[in-house]
Amino acid sequence: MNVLIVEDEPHTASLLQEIIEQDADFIVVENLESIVDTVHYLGKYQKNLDLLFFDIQLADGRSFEVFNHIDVVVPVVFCTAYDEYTLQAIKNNGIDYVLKPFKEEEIHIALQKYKRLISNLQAKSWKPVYFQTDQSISTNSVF
Amino acid sequence: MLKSKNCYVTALGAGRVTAGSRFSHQSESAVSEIIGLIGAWFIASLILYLLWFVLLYLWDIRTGRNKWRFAGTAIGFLVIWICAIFFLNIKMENSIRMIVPVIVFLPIQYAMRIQRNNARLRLEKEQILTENYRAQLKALQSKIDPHFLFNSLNTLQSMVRHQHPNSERFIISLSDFYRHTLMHNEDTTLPLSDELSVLRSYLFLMERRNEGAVQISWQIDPALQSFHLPTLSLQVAVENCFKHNSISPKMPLQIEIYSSDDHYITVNNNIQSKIGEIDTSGYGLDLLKKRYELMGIQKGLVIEKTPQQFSVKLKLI
Repeated sequence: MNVLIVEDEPHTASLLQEIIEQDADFIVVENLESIVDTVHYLGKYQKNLDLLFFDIQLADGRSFEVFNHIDVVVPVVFCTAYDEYTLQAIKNNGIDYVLKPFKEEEIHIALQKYKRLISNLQAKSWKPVYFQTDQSISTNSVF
Repeated sequence: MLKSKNCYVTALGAGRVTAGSRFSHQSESAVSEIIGLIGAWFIASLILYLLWFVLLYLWDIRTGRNKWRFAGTAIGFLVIWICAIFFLNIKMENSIRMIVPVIVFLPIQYAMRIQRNNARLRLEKEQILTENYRAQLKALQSKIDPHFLFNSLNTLQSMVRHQHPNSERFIISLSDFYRHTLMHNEDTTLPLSDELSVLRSYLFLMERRNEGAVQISWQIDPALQSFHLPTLSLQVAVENCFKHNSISPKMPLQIEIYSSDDHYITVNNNIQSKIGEIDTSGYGLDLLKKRYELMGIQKGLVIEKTPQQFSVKLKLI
C-alpha cells in the first residue's frame, strides 16, 4: 500500500518513513513538506495512494488548507505536536491522530487500524448493509 | 422670629441692617443669636459652595494661557470679598461669623477633592499593575511553548535513532534554551550578550528542525554587548519570522540580525507568506511593544515592512 508523508521537518519525516516501512505492507512513495506541493501531487497521483500521513503545522500553513483546494478521498493519519485540532482532523478524513513525539507502537496501531477498516470494507465490497430491527429498517454505512 | 430671620437672610449683603435689627430686639437676642449663626453659616456655605465650583471649573481650564485668567479671576473674587466686608461696613463680629464656615468648609471640600483624585490614581495604578502582570504571564506562557518542545523532541528522536553527529549539540541547545527562558522570568531586561546566546541556541534548534531551509546572517557590533534588551525580545522577534513565513529548502527563509549605530538591533527577513490563517497567539510583537511602553521607552519597537522584506527594530537600553 502506498503512503504519502507530508511533514516539514526532514528528520521527523525520515523517522516516520522508517517506522511505516517496518510494516511490509506499506511503502512510502513520497515525502512532501508544503501545502502547495501536496495539492499538486495529490492532483496528479491521488488515485495511486492508499494512506496519507499529515503533519498539521506545515512550512506554509496548516495542512487542512489542502482540503480546501482539492477533493481528498484517501484516509489520513494526522501526526502533530498540537492537541487542539482533533475535531478538524476528524472532519478531514482523519482515521487517527498521533501526538508528537510519537512512539513506534502508535504509528503501528494507526496502520493496523487502516488495514482493518480496509479489509472490512473490501469484504463488504462497498455495498451498504441493511439491518433489520424490530421497529424500523436502518442503514449502516461504514464511512 | 420671622423678622429676625429675614434680617439674617440679608445679613451677608447688608451687615448694617443685620447689626441694627439684632440689637433692637434685646428680648429675642438668645434665639436670634442662634438663628443668626445658622443663617449666616447657611448662606456663607451656599455662596462658598458656588465659589468652590467656579474655582474648580477655573482649575480645570488652567492650562497654558488660561493660567493668567485663572489667577485674575481668583484675585478678583478675593477683592470682591474684601470690598464686600469693608464697603458694606460689616462688623468684625459678623465677618468672623462668615469666616468660620469658610475655615471649616474649605478644608472639607479640599479633602473630598483630594480623596477623589486619590481614588482615581489608585485605580489607574492598579490597572497598570494588572496590565504588567498579564504581560509577564503571557511572556511566560510563550516561553514554555509545549509545541516547540514536542516538535524539537520529535526531531531529536530521529537524530538519535540515526546517530546524527549534531544530536548531542541539539540536546545541549535545547536545555540551554529552556534554562535561559525559565531562569530569567523575573528579570525585565537582559544584557545583549545573554540575549544573543539564547538566540543562538534557539536558531540552532530551528536550523536542525528545518534542515537547509533557513539562512542566517549575523552582524552585531561587539561594543554593544553591555546594553540591555527586554528579556527574550530577540527570540520573540525571530520566532515571529518563523511563525509568519513559509520555510522550505527550495525557498529558504533568510534572517538577518544586525546592529546599527543608532542603538537598534534589527531582525530582518524575506516575506514568504503562509497560506490560510496563521496562529496568532497574541504574545508576539504586540506584547513586546507593550513591554517597552511599560518601561516608559518611546519608539522601543519599530516595524518596517516592504513587499519583500519585514524588519523589526529593537531599541537597546
